[in-house]
Amino acid sequence: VGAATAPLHIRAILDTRILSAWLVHRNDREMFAAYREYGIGRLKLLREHVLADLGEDLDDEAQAFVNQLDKRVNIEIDDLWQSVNLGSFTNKTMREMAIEVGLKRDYDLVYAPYSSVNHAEWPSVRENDTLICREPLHGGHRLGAFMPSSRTVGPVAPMTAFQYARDGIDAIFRHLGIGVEDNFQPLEQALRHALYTDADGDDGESESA
Amino acid sequence: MEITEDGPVDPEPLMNVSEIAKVLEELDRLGGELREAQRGAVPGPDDDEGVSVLLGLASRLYRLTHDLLERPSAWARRPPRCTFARSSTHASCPRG
Repeated sequence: VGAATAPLHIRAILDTRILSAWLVHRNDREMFAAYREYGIGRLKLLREHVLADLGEDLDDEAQAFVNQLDKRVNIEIDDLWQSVNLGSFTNKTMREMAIEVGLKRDYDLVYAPYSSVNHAEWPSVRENDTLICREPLHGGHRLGAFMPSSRTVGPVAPMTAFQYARDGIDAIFRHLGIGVEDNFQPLEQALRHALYTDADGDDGESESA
Repeated sequence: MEITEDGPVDPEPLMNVSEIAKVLEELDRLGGELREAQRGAVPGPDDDEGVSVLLGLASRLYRLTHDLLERPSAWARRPPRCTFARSSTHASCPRG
């Protein structure tokens, strides 16, 4: 959990895994529409904030930016008919959605701690961004580390990401009547070979004679 | 990716260049297969509401995973460091 960079990627992957599983589980046309409308409404709100921030006298660069944003807002439906929802597109929290689709363990053990990394909660900051002063008379106080992320890498992050992506994509395609599970095998094999095979070609799993 | 010389991937000798190149090759192959496979799911325009959303989310899962797998430096584990070295402590600690 204390890794500095991987949680930023994996939380976003698990976010999508839970959301897509929940939408598949509900399989409700109105819920799909609500999901789309919510995101478009948020984009419309961003445009209003941008316009308010830029003021009335726009230079060419600002006008081009606003025009581009206008296109994004109106590409599917005219903004006249778009509502802005400041809450969420459903009344469920991510935790409730995870429980509903059988991903509670993943929420508790991965999503929640990785969210704490994304939100700069103290344990993450303490472990990645501070160091303890060794001076015994200083009472173990901490100072900012001001160092880059660890360069010690391991197989957990890539395998976790791969498994969530495989499970999520496979579930979506299965819902749509298409089997793609076997398509992931060559990638999994290449990944395992790269991550778990040492320089002598030993995968650590073969029995010796 | 054309490999002219093999060796450890920087920054850690976790894997060789040829091995990460194989992973990226298989990732790209998978992406092509998924793009092709989704054709069987695309309905008429009247039934597109949920299918577009789900295929978009599936693609997002693929893309985010691709982003992580192609950057081994992002697989970092917890840093193996706990304290300042004594010599630097006295130089930098504001308590003196």
